[in-house]
Amino acid sequence: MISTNKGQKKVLIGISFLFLTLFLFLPLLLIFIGAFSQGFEVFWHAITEPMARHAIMLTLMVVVITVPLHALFGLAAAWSLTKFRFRGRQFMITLIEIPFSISPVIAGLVFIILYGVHGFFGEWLQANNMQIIFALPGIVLATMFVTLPFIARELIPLMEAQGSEAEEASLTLGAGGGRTFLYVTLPAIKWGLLYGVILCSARAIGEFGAVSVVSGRIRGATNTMPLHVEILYNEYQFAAAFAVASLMSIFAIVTIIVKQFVERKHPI
Amino acid sequence: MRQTLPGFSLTLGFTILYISFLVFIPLIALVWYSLDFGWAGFWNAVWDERVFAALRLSFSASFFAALINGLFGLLIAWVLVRYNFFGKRIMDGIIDLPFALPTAVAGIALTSLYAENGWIGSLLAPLDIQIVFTPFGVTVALTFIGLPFVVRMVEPVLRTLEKETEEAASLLGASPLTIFRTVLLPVLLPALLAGMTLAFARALGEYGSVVFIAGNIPMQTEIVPLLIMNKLEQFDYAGATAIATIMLALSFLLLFTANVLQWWLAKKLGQKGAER
Amino acid sequence: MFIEMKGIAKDFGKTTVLSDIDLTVQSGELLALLGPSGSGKTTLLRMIAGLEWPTNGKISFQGRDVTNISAKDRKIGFVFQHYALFNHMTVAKNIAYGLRVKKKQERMNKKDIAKKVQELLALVKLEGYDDRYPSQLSGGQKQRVALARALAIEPSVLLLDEPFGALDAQVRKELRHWLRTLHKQTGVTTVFVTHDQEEALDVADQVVVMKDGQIIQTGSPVDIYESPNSPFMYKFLGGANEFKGTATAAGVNIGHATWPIDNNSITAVGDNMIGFARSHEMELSKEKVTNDQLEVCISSIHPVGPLIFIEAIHQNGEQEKIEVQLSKQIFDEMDIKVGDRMYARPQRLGVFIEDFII
Repeated sequence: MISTNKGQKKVLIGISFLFLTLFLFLPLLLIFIGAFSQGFEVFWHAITEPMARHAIMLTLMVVVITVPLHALFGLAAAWSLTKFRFRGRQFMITLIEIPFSISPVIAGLVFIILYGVHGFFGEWLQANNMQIIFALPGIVLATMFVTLPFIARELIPLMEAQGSEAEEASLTLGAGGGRTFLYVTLPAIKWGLLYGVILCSARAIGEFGAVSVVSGRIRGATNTMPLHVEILYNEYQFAAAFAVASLMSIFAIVTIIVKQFVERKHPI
Repeated sequence: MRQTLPGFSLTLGFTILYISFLVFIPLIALVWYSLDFGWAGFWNAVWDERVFAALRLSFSASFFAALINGLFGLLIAWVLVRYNFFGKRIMDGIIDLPFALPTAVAGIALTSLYAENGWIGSLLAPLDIQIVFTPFGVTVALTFIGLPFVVRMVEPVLRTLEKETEEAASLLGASPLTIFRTVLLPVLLPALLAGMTLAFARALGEYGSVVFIAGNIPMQTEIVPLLIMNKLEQFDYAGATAIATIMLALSFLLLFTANVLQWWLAKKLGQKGAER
Repeated sequence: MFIEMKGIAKDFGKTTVLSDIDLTVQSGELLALLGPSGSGKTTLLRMIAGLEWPTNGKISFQGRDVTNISAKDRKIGFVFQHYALFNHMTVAKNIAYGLRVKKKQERMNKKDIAKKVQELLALVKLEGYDDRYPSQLSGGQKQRVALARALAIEPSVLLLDEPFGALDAQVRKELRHWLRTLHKQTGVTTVFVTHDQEEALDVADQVVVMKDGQIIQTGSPVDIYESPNSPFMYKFLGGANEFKGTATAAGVNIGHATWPIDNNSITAVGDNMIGFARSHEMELSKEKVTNDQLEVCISSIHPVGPLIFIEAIHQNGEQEKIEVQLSKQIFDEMDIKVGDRMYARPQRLGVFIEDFII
């Protein structure tokens, strides 16, 4: 039988681990070894020097703006697309996924076309002394484009599986929409929401292509963490590059651990 | 028709508004902008050896990456669903790394690993195999970012397949290979293809993990997103937009394909449920 | 009357789920909506609750029009088939939910809520289960929590959707009798949906049988059982023999036997008729005495405890199978064996013109 042969099992598991080692484990390990390759001093300096601190703060700012808005969007989208049946529902669910299949470079480009100097609103913005491209708003918009689906995509299947009976029960017991959402829906999806928020944060922190296009890479001004890593790497400051990279990698590992935890909380 | 639960128009309205402003209106602006140059301008921007080379590289590297992911993704999904072993949870977790790890971080890590003086690169150098700054490097990076798609797509389908079907087949005297071909593959195929399509689509647009390992030599290791980026840096908006429009059309086509495959999958599994 | 529904219709796009339903529920009544799946009974129940909206028609509670009032303001208790308990809340929190979400000026203080929860826990015989979570309860216990939760808001109507549908047979029977007792204790007007005719006849004061979005028959359990008004009713209630016959001037002709029927007015001579007689309302005898006996051949005998189920074949053009149910005592007296030629007579026969709509 296919799956009960002992030797076969060992070989298949072995090949899987080998493949994952070459493509996933070793790169991850290398980041941390690289980060400390020139000692703790260099590591500490790399993540605390002013430019790095600025990049970290800017990245956090992007996350703080992006993630709550996407959480709100995810909740609204999941509520409207799972608690009600209407024509075009399935189509809407597909639409939400569109940013997944679009190149991040294009995600950045569209905002240059809209708000750049030669863009649709370029002149108007300049006349009113507002800047979107090569500034924080542009970075936020590009990041939001790319990370839009993450929270909604966690919530939709979860809420779909849970159905609407609990909400209906709450309604018959005299609770209105707000209380029903707060007391019944939200507690039932909190773990999925948590994972969505963390995954969305990880992606917002790490967004590179889209942000590259709109940021202009102005050091100490529009340089996010991934852009800072790129600059350090291109300047052959490998240890420093990996030091900043390792911070982001820790967040990625936390994301994975939370996912494992959440999947045990409510398996769909 | 009146809805039972409250908040339908509010939440749907917000959803549509949000996604329109953030995604659709910008995308429409892109297409609009590229139409502005007219056919001739569009053609001029696209009809270029460098564009062809980039498209060729992006397509072939993405295709091979999707193929590798199809093969190993299927294997890993199988191992995760059917076997219990030490380190299974770690294996399950690490699969999601490419989703969570910043692409630029993946890019520099893979480059250092496969560089001539890197852990793996130095093993391959005596064999005269160079990965970094070659199309192989591009494929390696694209394999990295596409891996979770196939595994996560095939896993749930594999889980619904009962062992009994295979056991019955083997009692009837089928060899393992025959069982795989006749019993498993037909059911897994839609999920596998959908996963590979998603991996392929993601790979076509990928930028961050590729730029470092590719080396960005025009005509040789320049992928399409990087070409768009280079055109932008030279303020060639027409060129960038024209290529982006083509990529956009391809993305929609691939998304559509993946959806059709998933629909096919749902139908296939649905039939299976009905037969039971 | 308590609930009155008039001219209720419901369409989902092109499919009609309910058409022209008139239904009244008396105050304090225990009413069962009975029907096969797809008959629209659950939709009708959800409409009373305000969880579903009629395309046409009017619903009123005690003369007050509630057609456009939302579920939140109807003050009804609803018990879902799959309980719909709030899984992240304890049993006590679940029961207290309806009391806690009230507006501030109408809300009881915490102490009174806690007291009320204890009363309800006692009522549903779950004392001491306050701090359990739904996942720690059995199906029957969950259903009782759901019931207590619904009763907490002192609803004017209690609605139950297939309340015992997801439980196993033993628990079902227990809960069924318990619901009956509970209804007597509380006196709340209650409507429940079921597809199980035995359950409906056993528990309810009034039974409404539905099919294809229409009400087929309404009546007390005795009425429903004693005088089904259509072939569908006989078939749905089950356990009835079916005879094909023809209308004659004298009555109905089945095989070589003839039955007189009361309302000859509805038949024209020569019409195809269909007759129903339940298996325990059949007599067997060894001799032909009267004109309404059918000649049969005993094909199998199957004793189940104190009852004997006998299958006999009747030649009526094609073979018709007849089931007869006898007590062990009569069976022993008659000394029946497989292969015997005997005469079967229905003590009562429900006769209808055969139509193809059944």
